[in-house]
Amino acid sequence: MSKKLMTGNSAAAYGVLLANPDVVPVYPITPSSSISEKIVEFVAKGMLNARIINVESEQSSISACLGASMTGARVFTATSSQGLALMHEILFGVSGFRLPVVMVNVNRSLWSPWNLWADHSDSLAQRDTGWLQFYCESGQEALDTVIQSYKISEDRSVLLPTMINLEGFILSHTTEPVDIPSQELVDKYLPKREPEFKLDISDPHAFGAMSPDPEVAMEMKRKMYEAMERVNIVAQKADNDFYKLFGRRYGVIERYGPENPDTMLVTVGTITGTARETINRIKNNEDIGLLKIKMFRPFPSKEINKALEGVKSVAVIDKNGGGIFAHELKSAVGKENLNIRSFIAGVGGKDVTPKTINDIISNTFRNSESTKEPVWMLDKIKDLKAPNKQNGNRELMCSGHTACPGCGGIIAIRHIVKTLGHKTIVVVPACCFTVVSGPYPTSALGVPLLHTAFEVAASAASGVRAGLDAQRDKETIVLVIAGDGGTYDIGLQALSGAAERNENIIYVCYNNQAYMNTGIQASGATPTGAWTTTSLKGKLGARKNLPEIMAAHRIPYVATASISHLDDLIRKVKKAKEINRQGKGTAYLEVLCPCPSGWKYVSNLTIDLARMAVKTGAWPLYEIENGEKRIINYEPEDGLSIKEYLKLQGRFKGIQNKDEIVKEIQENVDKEMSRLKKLSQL
Amino acid sequence: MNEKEDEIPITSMSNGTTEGNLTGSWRTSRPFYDEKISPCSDACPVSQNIPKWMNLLRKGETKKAWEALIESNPLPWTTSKVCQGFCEIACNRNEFDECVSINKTERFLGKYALDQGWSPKEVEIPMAIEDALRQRKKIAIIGSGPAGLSCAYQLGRQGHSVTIFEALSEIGGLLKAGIPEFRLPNKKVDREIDNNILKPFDIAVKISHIVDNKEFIYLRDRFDAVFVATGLHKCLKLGIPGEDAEGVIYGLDFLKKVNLGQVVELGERVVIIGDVNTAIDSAHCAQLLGKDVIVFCEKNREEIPKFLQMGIKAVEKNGAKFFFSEKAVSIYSENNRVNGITVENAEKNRKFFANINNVIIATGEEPNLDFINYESAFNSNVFFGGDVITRASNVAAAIGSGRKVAEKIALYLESGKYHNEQDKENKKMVGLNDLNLNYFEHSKRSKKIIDAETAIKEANRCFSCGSCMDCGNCERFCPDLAVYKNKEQYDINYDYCKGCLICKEECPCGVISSELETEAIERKKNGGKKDE
Repeated sequence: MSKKLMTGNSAAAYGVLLANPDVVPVYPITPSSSISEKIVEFVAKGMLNARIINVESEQSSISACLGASMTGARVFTATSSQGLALMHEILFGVSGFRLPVVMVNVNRSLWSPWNLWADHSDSLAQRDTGWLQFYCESGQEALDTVIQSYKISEDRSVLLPTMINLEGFILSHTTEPVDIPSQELVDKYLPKREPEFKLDISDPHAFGAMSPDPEVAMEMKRKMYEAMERVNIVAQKADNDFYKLFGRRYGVIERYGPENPDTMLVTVGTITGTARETINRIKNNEDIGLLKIKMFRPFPSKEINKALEGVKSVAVIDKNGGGIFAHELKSAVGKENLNIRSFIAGVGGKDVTPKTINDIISNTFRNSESTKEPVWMLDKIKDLKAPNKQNGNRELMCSGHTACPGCGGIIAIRHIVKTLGHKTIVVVPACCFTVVSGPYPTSALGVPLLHTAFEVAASAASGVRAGLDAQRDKETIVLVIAGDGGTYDIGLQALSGAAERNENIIYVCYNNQAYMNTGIQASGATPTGAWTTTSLKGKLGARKNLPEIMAAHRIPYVATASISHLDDLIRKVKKAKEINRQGKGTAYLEVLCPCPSGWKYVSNLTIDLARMAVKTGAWPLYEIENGEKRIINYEPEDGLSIKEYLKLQGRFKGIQNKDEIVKEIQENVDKEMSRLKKLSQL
Repeated sequence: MNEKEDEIPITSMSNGTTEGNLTGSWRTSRPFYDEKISPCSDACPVSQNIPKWMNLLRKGETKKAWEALIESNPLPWTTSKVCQGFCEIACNRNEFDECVSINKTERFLGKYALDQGWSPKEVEIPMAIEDALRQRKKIAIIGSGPAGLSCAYQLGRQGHSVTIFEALSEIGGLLKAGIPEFRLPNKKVDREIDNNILKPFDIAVKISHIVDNKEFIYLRDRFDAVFVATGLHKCLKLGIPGEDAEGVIYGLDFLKKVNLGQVVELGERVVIIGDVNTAIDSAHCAQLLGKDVIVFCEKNREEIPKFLQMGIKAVEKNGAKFFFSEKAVSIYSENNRVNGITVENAEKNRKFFANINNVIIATGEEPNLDFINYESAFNSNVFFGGDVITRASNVAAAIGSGRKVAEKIALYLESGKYHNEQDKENKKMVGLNDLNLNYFEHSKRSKKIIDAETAIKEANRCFSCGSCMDCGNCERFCPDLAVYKNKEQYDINYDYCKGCLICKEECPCGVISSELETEAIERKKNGGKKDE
């Protein structure tokens, strides 16, 4: 056993390492990304022999889990909040197929508005999907629970997936000392998975087909229900077995404080730690006890009832806007003289401090009946006001935004919005600009801006367009400003749909060639050889050719641009504007935007890099009209090697001396240029 | 608390801009505008600010360009006609493709102004000169050569009253008397001097007026300042036997006679001794008079400066014979009339040349300051400049010197001092590496500048090293919109500048410098000079 300082996310990743999964689909979302990054690192270092799949959305990561688990493999994935919500449909599938998938959800409040901080609204929204749910309060608990979860889920009498919850930032990013058990002991505890059934060519079955008889379906659901009922015993046994080998145990609930208190605090997750400390400091604290609920699904009714024997008042602290734990407890506990008070604290990531706990305790002491409505632990605060009001700023984008110094994307956005003018509505999916455009109550743009979910910018924009048209406004331009992640990958379905309908919108992808906002993970736009946290040795394979994909939709206008060639970019934006104004349909613009943080270079070279990309042919500048006519705007310099471009960026440092890879990159650049030239002559 | 105003809205909706977030606090490096010296300006003996007028010409503002040009040099056509073109040799563009045709462009502007009838009188003068009109001073300048004229121009345009005393019968010193007609036509020189210097300002010239010792003291006492710009008119003697024979004349004296239209009696065979400007010009003039010319140069051919080589070739082409590494040792005469010469080469071998009719000795000149007594020179209001001090022997240097003396005189007249407390900071010079050459395309220089269109086209080739050419790159590329234009000049809003330094990188002209933010803060604390 070795003790190391690490974050909650790292601890979870070490748990996964020890559990030895075969397949780990990966998709980044703050604050869970570093779990995936750590696992990718383990694989790159040869510590874990798992197949990583860099998928294009959470819908896909959970679906890939489902597919892999159906072959009998052990699988893992991690996500948060919006990503978990996107998985919703598939979660039912995983449990319905009785697959022992283990997933870590790093709790993060759901939108709208966007929120990065922790509350339990995301996992609780999935409480009826047939998944087990655990809530951890420490890194050690996270690591241990990952290992235990595989044992529980894979148990023949359970065969249900498990969701392990860690609070975002509070736990995921906090560093604590963690014991890493030895692989040998873990292997002893957790043997290889033996699937009950699988996709097997030697024994073929069809899985998931509809039954003509609803009673069959109902029976299958009853079996799931019964399995869930058995989880309690299986979980407690797994916990005891864990204790025998590793010396640590958690229980499905945990009691703290005096044996028979009059008052009991009920908490979940990290609030438990704060509550423990608060109780310790109360004078005459013999009357206050603490009950931590670790397992939420299935709800440990028996254990809770037992723990509440002799208790007069219960204060349930819910870190969600619905008082859900209080509801479940009320339903589960059959006691008449028990005063159950529901408190809502820490929603949206608001800090839960000892003062909050003390206030809750005082409130419980002062009031001798159950709450009819939950008590919100929130003082009334004044609205935030931005000191500078909107004015007739000709630039339409102002200073004070939070882009990194030298950001290429913001230069593109500045000039695009300026060129389109004030009769523009901007739709922005999750990307750097979501954050950079300013937190509430500010905005860096002088035009209306709608923040949307990651995968649906083009759909939301289609809606905005339809709404405007219905109200007889054909003049206002609808502009999407999206990153490459939200265009090439998760947003492609919506974009394709909008293009197929030839919506009158301008879609601008500011392409910095990775998921930069979440910390530099590989996307479908990441070029060959580039380092990212999920392509540590350099991305294998070529990036998607999205302009050509868009051209295949036969929309009136597709163009690539670069911030180094500003006049060309502005001309193209004007062209797109004209097409929209004339109602001719979708215009798609893709601008190369170097990113100092992600491409690893010093900020002053942003324009230079963009220019070098065009000069070497790494980023050809061209237009495609009506899906057919191709116009090359700039001929790359003859004989200028791609090395001149690669050597300026730290993300290519690892492959700069690998001749075969550089040769491959050069060949692909030359091939693409030659292809464009041929097509431009048609 | 105003209930409605302060109520948090039902959904997240912005109520203002991000401008309250002063992102300047992120900075670790700070850019600043730091105009530097271009290599051409640095090499120019006049210390002209070449990019300044080039940038005006680039935009098509011909008149403004000429006005900037004549800031430092009132005789651009004249100067560029005879200048070696130090600027073009130093031009950074040489390493890119070809230098900018600065010399010919300047020449074009000078002539164009005369043809258009532009006058320096209409030009606004920088510096607080209105006061000078109240404190009008009287200045005496001895010598109307380029140094004296340049000084007269600078002081005249400030509003002072200038009197020039010229020993010869013509104004212009060596411009007319020394440099031959085929190199610098006198009528054209006169035209430029009249239009740019004498006519617009209170400048009077007394020709054929030699200042002697008595008069010098009078001038010193009666004028507020005296500028001695008498140049180099005393021809150097060789000091060899036979030098005083009849038929032996000196280069500059010979040229003066020729250039001022006087008759010169020369025999058929003329020997020129010397390898300097005066010698080559003398050889040329003797040839034009139809004489057989032989030239003895003490240097060998390669040692002679490049700018004289063309002259030598031209004279040779017309039949003159040049002998290099030959030193004159003795002149022979019969009946006191020169008829032969002995020369000696590097190996001490001697040769005798017979049947020569004249010897023109042109090994250089020195100043003649006999009219100034030693003690009377050291007076606070007497200033020296031009070839008398610098010995540079080129027109541009003389003009530059005259200008510097004018500055000194102006300062002296105003404050009684000779130096400013804050002497000009040493500006950095811009090399090719400081430029961003991506913004320039290769092009051939125009060898002939025949009209305004060609001039403007050539001006567009100028890299504007160290001076802002208003391309707007800094403003356009700033991710934080922290660069703005403040009355024709670009400036940085340090409230928002994050110090990414893209502006510095994309400035084609190397105008923007940067320093560490910690250094900037330190410097401001210690009362540094650079502005916010």
